[in-house]
Amino acid sequence: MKTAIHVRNLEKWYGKKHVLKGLNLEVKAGEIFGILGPNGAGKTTLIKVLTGQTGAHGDVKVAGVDPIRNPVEVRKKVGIVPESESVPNYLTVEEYLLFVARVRNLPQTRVEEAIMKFHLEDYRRVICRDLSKGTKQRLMFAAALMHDPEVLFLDEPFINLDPVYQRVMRKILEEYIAGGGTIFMATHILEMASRLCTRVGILLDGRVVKIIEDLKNLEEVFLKEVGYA
Amino acid sequence: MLKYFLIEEYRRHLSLAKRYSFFVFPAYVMFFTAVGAVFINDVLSLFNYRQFVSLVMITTFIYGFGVGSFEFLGRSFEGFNLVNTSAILPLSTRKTYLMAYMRDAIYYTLLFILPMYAGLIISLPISGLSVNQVSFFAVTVLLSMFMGYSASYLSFSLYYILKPLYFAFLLAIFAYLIMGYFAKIPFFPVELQITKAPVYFFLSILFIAILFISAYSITPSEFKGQSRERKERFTAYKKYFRDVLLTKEMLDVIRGGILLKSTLTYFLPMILLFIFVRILSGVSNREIYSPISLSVMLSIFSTVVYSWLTIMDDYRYMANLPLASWDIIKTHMVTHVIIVSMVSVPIIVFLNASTLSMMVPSFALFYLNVFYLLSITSYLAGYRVTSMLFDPEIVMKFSLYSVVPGIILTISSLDQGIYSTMIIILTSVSMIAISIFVLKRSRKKWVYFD
Repeated sequence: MKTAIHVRNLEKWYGKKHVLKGLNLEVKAGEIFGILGPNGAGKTTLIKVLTGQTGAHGDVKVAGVDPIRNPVEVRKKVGIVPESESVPNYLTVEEYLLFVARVRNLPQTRVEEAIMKFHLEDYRRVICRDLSKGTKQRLMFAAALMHDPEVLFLDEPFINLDPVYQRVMRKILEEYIAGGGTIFMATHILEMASRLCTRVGILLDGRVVKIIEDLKNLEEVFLKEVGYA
Repeated sequence: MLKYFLIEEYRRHLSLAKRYSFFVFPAYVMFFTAVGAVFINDVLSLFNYRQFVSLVMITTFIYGFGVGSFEFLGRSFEGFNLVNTSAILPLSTRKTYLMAYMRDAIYYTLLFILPMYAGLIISLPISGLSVNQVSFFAVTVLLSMFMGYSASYLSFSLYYILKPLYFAFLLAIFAYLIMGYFAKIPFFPVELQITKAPVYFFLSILFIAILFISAYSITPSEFKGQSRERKERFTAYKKYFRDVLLTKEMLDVIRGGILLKSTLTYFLPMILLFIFVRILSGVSNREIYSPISLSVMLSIFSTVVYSWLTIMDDYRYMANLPLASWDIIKTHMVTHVIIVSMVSVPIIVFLNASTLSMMVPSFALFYLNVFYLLSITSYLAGYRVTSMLFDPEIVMKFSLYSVVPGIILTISSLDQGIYSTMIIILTSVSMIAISIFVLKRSRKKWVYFD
């Protein structure tokens, strides 16, 4: 099976803080790979490095592109749903999706498809920053999936969604995987990870310390690894 | 509760720069006031006392109004902070904004008014002024600033009640300032300050209290979650502006009211330009009027527009798209030139109305300096300049790189001799070379959004 994400000896420093310490990881195409870890373990930093949002040192390939050397190029091939909500201050939902479509050179028809798929019809004329947290999250999903990315990066993707939309999103993600996509997801919700993921990696102190393939007892294994069991 | 507002503000500034930077601003204020006070007699020989008091009052009023508007109307763009906690705590918006008012009133007094007063006191042995005179001056500045700051508080409340009322209030204030300065109507604060100081103090305090109480009373206890719907304009704008980022930026400019803010931004510099011409005329003992040097001065002030552009949007979402922060910087630069041209071109044409031969060099040097300042600002500060304002190292570099060529161009263009022309040409060529050099480096430097 093709490799979607390849990471060898990844090092990342923020000033004097050593955040990623020689991290190694391999994610196959078609997988839903979950990355778990306590707060401050480096999950968000890892996603930022893999998506070319911050610099680092190491041998990294995502969808065949080196995000450290070609940070903008890698973002053409991936979709990102970040942890922190960040949407435009003055664009409406429809205008933001039109903007994303233009930046990614997509036909305008994709905008309408995304609006329908993510149930944003009632909000198309609403300024993005006036949306509720959950609707913002759906908008970010829509923007991240519009171009059928090779790899989708999700950072705490379900945290603002109500149970109905958690289910809707899960279904959309399953369709995306069935269509040949790969998901790399950082989450705190162990139940969601065990239900969705094919494999899970535990990130602790800047390194992936364990890869779990049997997700039946994920909670126990996780708590044991982080030293709470 | 005020204590926590004060702590939050202090830590917010610390998050943008080093600890000592917080105290750099009052040190600057103290230093420049002390230096300015030494030349007070020269300044007073150029203006009559009425004009001088009017200028001081108007500039400090606008300063107070400007920082207040930036705080009250700008704070709503920021993420989670104490001002916005009324949504999740049993606190009214009325109360949180009152705390914000008090917090800034304390900080501006401590970090601006007191250092200014200290600067005036330090300069006493050289300036020859008396303690009474500088104290009287400091109180005038304090009252004018608080009048402006309280007016901004009221304007903010009006903005949330009825926008036309807000704009009417703004227009009324500026019309009164302009008419008052040119003595077209009685300008009460000035007349009273000169003739009946105690009445002036009493009425000013009363007026501040009225503005403050009115603002507090009409601030809604809760801001209704207005669903601000807009028609889709992106497609239509795209036809005009072609580039997708520029299209988005122009939509932001129009919806964010940046055109109005930019025009107002020029108001204060225009007053400073006026003072500058008066001082130069006085120093050289003849009426100096150089449209070229005024155009260069205008380009220096135009950099403020760039900072408006960089805080207009929350650009973090751009990091999820195949864009580098350099792409945003380029768009800011183009937008900056468009806006600055809209405001400055009529002014430059007006400045050259009686000397048409100077029109072309005025425009050439104006745009050269705009291009140069944009290159330097974007190289040093990136797509957001907010953090730059709190970093003395960057401010020092910016001052060195930007002000020195600006001064050389301004002074040289006061005279049209061959020697001055040569200096202008040499400076211009150097500025173009430096701009190209830093722009090339910016491309590599500004990739990420963090």
